[in-house]
Amino acid sequence: MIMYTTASYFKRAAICLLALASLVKASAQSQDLRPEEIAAAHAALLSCPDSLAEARFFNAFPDRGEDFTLLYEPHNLTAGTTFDFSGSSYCHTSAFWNLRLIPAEVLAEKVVRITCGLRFSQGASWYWQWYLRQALALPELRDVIIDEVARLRSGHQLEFWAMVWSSAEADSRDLLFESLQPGLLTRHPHTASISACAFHLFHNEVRSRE
Amino acid sequence: MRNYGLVALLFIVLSPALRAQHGGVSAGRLRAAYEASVGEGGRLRQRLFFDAFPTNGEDYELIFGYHPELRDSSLYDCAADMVEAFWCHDAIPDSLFYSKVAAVTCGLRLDADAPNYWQARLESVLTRHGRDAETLIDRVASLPVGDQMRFWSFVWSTTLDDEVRSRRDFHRGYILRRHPQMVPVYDSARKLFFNGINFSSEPSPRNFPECE
Repeated sequence: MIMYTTASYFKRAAICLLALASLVKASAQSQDLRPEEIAAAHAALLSCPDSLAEARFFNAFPDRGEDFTLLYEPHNLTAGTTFDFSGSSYCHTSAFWNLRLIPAEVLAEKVVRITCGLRFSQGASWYWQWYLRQALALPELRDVIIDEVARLRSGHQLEFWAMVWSSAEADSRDLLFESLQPGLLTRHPHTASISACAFHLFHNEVRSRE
Repeated sequence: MRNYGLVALLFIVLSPALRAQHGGVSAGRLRAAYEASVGEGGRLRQRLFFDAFPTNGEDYELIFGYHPELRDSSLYDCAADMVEAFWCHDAIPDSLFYSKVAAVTCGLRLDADAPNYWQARLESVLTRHGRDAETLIDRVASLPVGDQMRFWSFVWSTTLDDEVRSRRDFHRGYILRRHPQMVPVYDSARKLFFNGINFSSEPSPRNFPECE
């Protein structure tokens, strides 16, 4: 009886997780940008950080780097409108990267897509890049993100690594590059060559967006 | 935890500076300058239109891209005409004009509509012989290598393998003679971005078979 109850519990939990993952994945493909929903989902996440609140915030969060930039970088075209979230860029970016209940593969797909459309700056994309580098230093997320990057078309892989390695001056990215490269060469040699190319071109060699 | 605290602290310290970094493009100013320049024309009006035109790719994408939510601040419907007018100048010194062309190009990703119009005009200049292409290439060669890569990536970006386009030569011989250090960047961009991307608005940047 106890065995049956335990099995039943795990079965239900698995079904719930699968449903959550499908919901999150389906919504991740939507391109609607709904700032009111992002704000409401963020507020809900702060008040009750459960799996549904995480899924809601994850779904509302921008899907593309261009949309992330539109919302979170200060710009006179959006100033004073509901699309000006530049004051919340750190809170929202931090909340996104601290989602713990979203399946890693689903999180990685969105992370990679957003990253491809970002350009290094001193604003919101700087925070994004900082969290991305932290994630790439953690084995559990690193491999999932890298596997997703390896699925991209070659130009998008360059865009991804360009954002990772972009800096206006030398810094600790050298260490991250050295730590990632051996594993990349073993598992995804083509991706490793693109990462190396991006490191050579963008590390200490890019202007911040003006 | 200490790292997260440091990031939060940096955010607080940098906030005033970030607030001052608002993009400079204004839809009202650009629309007015465009209407004046196509009305009676004239060098001064062309210059005003040129000055009002976006100064980087991000502003270009924001103002001409498909963002209906921006309402009056979006010039999506006029993008084709305005981009055409920008490239048909005859009152702007070449060095100034191509500096702006390089800066805008460095911030663009290929997509339908406005980025596509820009790429077509860019290709048109770069496949012609003459001073225009060389001025633009000289300008690009003066940028940091990361920005050079962004520029050539956009020039070479295609979603499909197109035989005619694959044979295009954007003055590689001139680059080899005058800016040999830029040749590897040019070649890498061709290798990675020709038949190497999806439109940025596509649902996924994955390879086609996996997009299903």
